[in-house]
Amino acid sequence: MGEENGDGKGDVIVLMKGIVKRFPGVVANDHIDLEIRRGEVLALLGENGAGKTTLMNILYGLYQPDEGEIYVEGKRVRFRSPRDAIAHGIGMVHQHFTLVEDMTVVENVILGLRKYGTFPDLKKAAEDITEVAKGVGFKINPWAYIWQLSAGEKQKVEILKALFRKVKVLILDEPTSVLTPQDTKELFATIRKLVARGLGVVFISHKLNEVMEIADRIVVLRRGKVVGRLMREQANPRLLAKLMVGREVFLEIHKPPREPGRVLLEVHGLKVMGDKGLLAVKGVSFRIREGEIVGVAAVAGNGQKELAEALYGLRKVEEGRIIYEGEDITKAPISERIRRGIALIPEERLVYGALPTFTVAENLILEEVDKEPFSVPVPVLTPALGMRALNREGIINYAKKVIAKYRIYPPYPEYPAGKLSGGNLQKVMVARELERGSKLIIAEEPTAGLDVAATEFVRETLVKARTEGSGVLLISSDLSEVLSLSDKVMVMYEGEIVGAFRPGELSIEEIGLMMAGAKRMPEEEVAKIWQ
Amino acid sequence: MWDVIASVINLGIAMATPLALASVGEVYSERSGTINLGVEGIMLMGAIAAFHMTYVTGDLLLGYLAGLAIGVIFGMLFSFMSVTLRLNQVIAGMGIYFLGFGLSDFIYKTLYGKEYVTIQKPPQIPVPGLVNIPIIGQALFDQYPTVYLTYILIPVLWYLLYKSSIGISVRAVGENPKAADTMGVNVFLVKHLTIWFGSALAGLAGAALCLEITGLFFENLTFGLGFIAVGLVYFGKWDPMKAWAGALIYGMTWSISVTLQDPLQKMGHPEMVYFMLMLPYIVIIIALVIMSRGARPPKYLGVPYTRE
Repeated sequence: MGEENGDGKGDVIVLMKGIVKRFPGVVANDHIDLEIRRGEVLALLGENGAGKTTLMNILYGLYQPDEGEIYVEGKRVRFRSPRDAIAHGIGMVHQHFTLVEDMTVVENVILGLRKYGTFPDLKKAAEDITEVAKGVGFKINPWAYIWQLSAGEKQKVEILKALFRKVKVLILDEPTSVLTPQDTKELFATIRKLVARGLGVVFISHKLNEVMEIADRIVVLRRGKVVGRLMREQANPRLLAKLMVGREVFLEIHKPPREPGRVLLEVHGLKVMGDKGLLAVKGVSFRIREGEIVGVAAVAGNGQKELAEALYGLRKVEEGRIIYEGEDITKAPISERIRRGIALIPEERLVYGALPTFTVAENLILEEVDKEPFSVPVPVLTPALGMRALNREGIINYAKKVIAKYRIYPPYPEYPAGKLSGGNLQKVMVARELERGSKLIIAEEPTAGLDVAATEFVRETLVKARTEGSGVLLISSDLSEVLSLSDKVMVMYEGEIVGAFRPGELSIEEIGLMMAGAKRMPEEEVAKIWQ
Repeated sequence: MWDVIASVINLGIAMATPLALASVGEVYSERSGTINLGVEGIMLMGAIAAFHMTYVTGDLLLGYLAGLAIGVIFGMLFSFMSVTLRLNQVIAGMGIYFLGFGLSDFIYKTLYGKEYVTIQKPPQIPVPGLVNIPIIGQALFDQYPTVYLTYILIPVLWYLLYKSSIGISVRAVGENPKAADTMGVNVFLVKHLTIWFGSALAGLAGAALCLEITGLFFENLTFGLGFIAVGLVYFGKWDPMKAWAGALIYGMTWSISVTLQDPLQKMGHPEMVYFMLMLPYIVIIIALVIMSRGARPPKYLGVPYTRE
């Protein structure tokens, strides 16, 4: 907040000098200098794997730096654990919440605190927590269990945990990745309040528009090095993207107009169970045509994942029908769906998508191993048993081509898939699903955790597939992604479709309200869009 | 008649006590995320240590302490393997079991040969006043030392687990070690200490079984009690009081079946004696099946913790 700090520079609270952290095979932080100032939002911008989180984990005492020094308010410090960092007024909210789901808010907040003694008076603690919450305008029931809370509320608990420990510096690691637009707005207001109180806030992100909105000062990291330091007034999205990626990036997605073709997929009154034995998808109906992207806008956990899994055959359908190219595939096994050209790009890449101990090449041909040139017939075994011999040369040559086309790094066909970065692993998944000429692509969070370049690539690839006549179901918690890629968007809330529209027809606020369950469109209006 | 019932309950509680001690110890270990399948082996080591110490010194207190101490030593060995080296807990636990099984028997045979040697069992101590309550007094308050220990220790452990900052830390480490770590809880220390504590109780359980129940040592003295103790943790849904209840069910069934063996034999049903020997196991299996349904273990049970 420039006007409050005069020249925009508060006192330095934390100074990190020449920080180096090496992991096997990579230098995650390569001589990084950083200062965190009082009353200022410092954005740490960079692609995945740029070293942002590593740097902050060092400041929080989770990692030990190999080289470099840290000063807090002018004094040299060494943090051996988060306890040391907390004692020096550093707090951190991790991207994946570090809350104990089976405990109450109170228990989570006082965890590790000594101030309440061995037999803490939880009532007193709850009062103290409510007090701190009031100070920043949070409404939180201290006796609620964490599993009862929404993502936005969990984040508030995380922030409370830090504030309760009277932090001077609050690190927020990709804090908006799980939030609805309204939650994000609220979070930004909270950040402003904290900064006005004199805290230093570190905002880790790879989202340019958010950084432009909230940051006072921006430090850009690329491959472990600082490649840019600028005040927000000096920055613009184009410049930041260029710094981050190291080359010119086209932020706009080029999406040529395309007239949707015949109906590819028809879903009638689909009901699907979730993991907890309750209906997660409660009777949804929609259509996907050739040459269109249908996006799903929803907060995580509203049935979109179960819907995708049911369409691919990973989850049993309780009621309703799935018609694909005019045929009922409700009960068809996955292998048949794959053969018919249905592809899934799963969210949990290492669970459902890739075999981490297999090589990149093997992962790429997993679903097509019975085809030339990946395997060849052999005498006796092939005619008698249908067994074929792997053709290593064919597999490797194909893998090399795909690796080059999708710019997978490191470019070795025999590299274990489990050791790839998230972005590169996702490229392998996308390549595998698209290179076999799929007609219906179910993409679950296809760009989650990907860097700008990989995100751009995956989006382009999906649009290209759509333009060439495939149908795409795009599930993403990145609302701007859904709106910019999709031809039609449906909003899901608690397993139902509560709205459907074409991008541009509704405002972000209206969409946000529907995602939060505060508003829904009449059913006839929703049905109209699929005609 | 009432006398018989009181003595059946008395014996049942005595028998349940070693099981309860081992089980609540395991509750603490599992609450912080470590499953210790070596309980049986540690009980056997506790038994032989207590037996030998009592035989040599003639001092029962030293016997109990020897059981406790050997439990801590085995706990250190196990926590070194499972927490420090991050070995698979099932494999490490089975290793501890086999080590305890073989070593306890080896020690006994080396020191005592094949003879059964008995020691003087500790006396049952009546609690002045309370022992005079009809039936209850005789059942509950004319007991062995470790029985009185469980009366106090298990409620205290329950209270610590749910109401103290120690308990919050232990539970947090088992549910989400990263959350505990980022809040400044020393995850490794908590895991080590709960394992040592659980093993110490297992060692003491072995001592109680040997000194109070059998009064002698023989190969495989525990005949599976250590594994039942681990099962009771699931039965009790990781709650010390409920695990204790499970132990009491086992103890009572055992006591009833032992009491019925003689009359059945005399009434000309020798085959029923074998059935009676089997009964406690049947009851405990059924109880486990019924009570363990829907039990939700600590989320990070069995998962070694590492920061990077």
